[in-house]
Amino acid sequence: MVPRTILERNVISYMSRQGLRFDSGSVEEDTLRFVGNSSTYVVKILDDTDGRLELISAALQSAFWAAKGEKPYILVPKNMSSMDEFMVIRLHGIGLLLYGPHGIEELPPIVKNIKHDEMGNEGSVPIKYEEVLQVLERIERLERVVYKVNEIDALVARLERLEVAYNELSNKLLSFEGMRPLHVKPTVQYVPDKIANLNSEIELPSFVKDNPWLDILAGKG
Amino acid sequence: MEMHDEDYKKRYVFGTDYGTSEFKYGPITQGERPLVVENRGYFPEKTILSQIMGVDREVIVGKDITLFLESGAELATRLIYPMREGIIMKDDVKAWKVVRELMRHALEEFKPKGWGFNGFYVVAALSAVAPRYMYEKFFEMLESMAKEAGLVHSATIISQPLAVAIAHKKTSCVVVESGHGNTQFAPISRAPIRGAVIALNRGGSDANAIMTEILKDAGYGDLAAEETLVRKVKENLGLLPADLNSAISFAKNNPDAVRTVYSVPGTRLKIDLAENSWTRFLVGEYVFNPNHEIFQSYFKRGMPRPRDTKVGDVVFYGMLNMAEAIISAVEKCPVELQPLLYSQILLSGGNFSWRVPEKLKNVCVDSATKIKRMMAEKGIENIEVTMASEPQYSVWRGCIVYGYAVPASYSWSWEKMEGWMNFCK
Repeated sequence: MVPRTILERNVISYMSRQGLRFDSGSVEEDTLRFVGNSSTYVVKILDDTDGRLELISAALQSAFWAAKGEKPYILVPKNMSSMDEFMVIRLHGIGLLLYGPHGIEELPPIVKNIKHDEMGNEGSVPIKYEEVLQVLERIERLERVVYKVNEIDALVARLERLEVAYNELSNKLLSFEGMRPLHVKPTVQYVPDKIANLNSEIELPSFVKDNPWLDILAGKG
Repeated sequence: MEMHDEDYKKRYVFGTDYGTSEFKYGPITQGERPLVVENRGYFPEKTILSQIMGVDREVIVGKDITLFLESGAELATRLIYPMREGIIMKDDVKAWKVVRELMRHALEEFKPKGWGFNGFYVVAALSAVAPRYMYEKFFEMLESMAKEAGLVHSATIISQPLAVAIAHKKTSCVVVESGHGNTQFAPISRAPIRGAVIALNRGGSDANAIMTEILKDAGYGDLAAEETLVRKVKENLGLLPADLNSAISFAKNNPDAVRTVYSVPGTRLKIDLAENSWTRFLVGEYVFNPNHEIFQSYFKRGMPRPRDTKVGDVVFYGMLNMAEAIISAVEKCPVELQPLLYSQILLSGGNFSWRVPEKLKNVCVDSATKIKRMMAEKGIENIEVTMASEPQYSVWRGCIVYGYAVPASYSWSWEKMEGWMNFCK
């Protein structure tokens, strides 16, 4: 674990090289403040003992500073989180200082709607916010499609299993039919005058029940 | 497999009855009564407004129709009643389009969602005198609905009188079905007896015609042009006399007993035939027997005399009275069947609904009694004449029973005109 004092010295040294002047430090907040370029920069320090919860908390706190007009940065161990999560933090106007065995590496905040004439002043990377959102939306849509495809695959597998079961039953039925001697009539047959047996699910209207035409018509063909 | 087909068919039997003024439809699961819409279609004008409203259909049917009706002189040409006369001419393109749209609309309304549905078993009922090309056109229409939308599995067509007999559980009878434009007399003995059907070119519209003349004579000439009003007056003032001569004498001696005032609901109109009230008896008599000499004066003054016409091979008689028509039909059947047929005469259709006011019980009768009297005059006694109950639903009910019972494996035969035309082979 890198001692806190060395971390702080490295941050002050890095920020000085960027032309910023150290202003103050807060032990309670774990922050260092710098001034320069007519702005105040706040660096929140996280070390190896901190985890994702501390990172989220630092991001929220930084967003609060950004809302006040300050330039927030979070110093984090390089391996603390994924680049995707770092990207999300940067999209909210928060810079990151990643530290590892090779020193500090800066990931500047991603600034919305950067105009060409404003670029470069603050060292921000000119990525269009809308484009990033579009990419994220496309990824989300693709994820939904993949989910549907998986569902269809599952249905196809189910249908195949049902077909197999159906064929097995059909074969069994045929073998039973084959065993029936010729003089024995099939036991399941159409009996038109016994309406109740025909279809228990349909409630037959009164004009169908006991209608003498049922026998006459059923005998056709 | 056979059992499976039968079960499927019973579940998805669908009845359709193209009546002269109403289209009745629905599957077996509809229960005792079908759904009813007017048997008509509206061809909207292709205006920008109608396109904005999303009316891209050529013809509109069903309950929506009133939303689209436009006023104006063109209404009559745009609003088509395809079955007014029970028969559609081969080249009547618009009428066929209405019939098709009604069928499609009806089947779509009940088409189940989800798996397992493979089209309805459609039973359509047509007039007993429908020519063969109507059957062919119907099958063509249903086949295209099977292929395009999977709405039809198989179809069959039966005659309306057969459906009425089935619905009333009578296996041997003469069905007399009287519609708007014509009246059919169909002897049935376990099946329709082909070649024995008699048709009259006379129906409810002829009773309306004489009612119109009576209204004109009573000073209501301005109202006589409104068909719906004339029909209402007919239903409320028209009477069926047991014997026309006796009824007229009774009316002349008891003018107050026959006179009544009809107030048209929802209006200030009151119709009083006054000293012409005796003419109320003419309305009913004319339906049953237009040969009485009293009608000659109406014919001379321009009321069209019902004429004999021929459609396909069938003659529609204009002036035959109802008893003569029944006798002609029965006498075309084998002699041994004739007593059985006379013993069960089944009257169906709104044209047989005649009121018998309490104070006119001595001179007025219902349709069944009138037929019995007329048959007795021809020397045929001891017959049973029944009025169909809920006649407006009889044909649809018969369709359902027919579709339910005829085996799915029985293929359509043009020779016998029965069986299923299967579109799912």
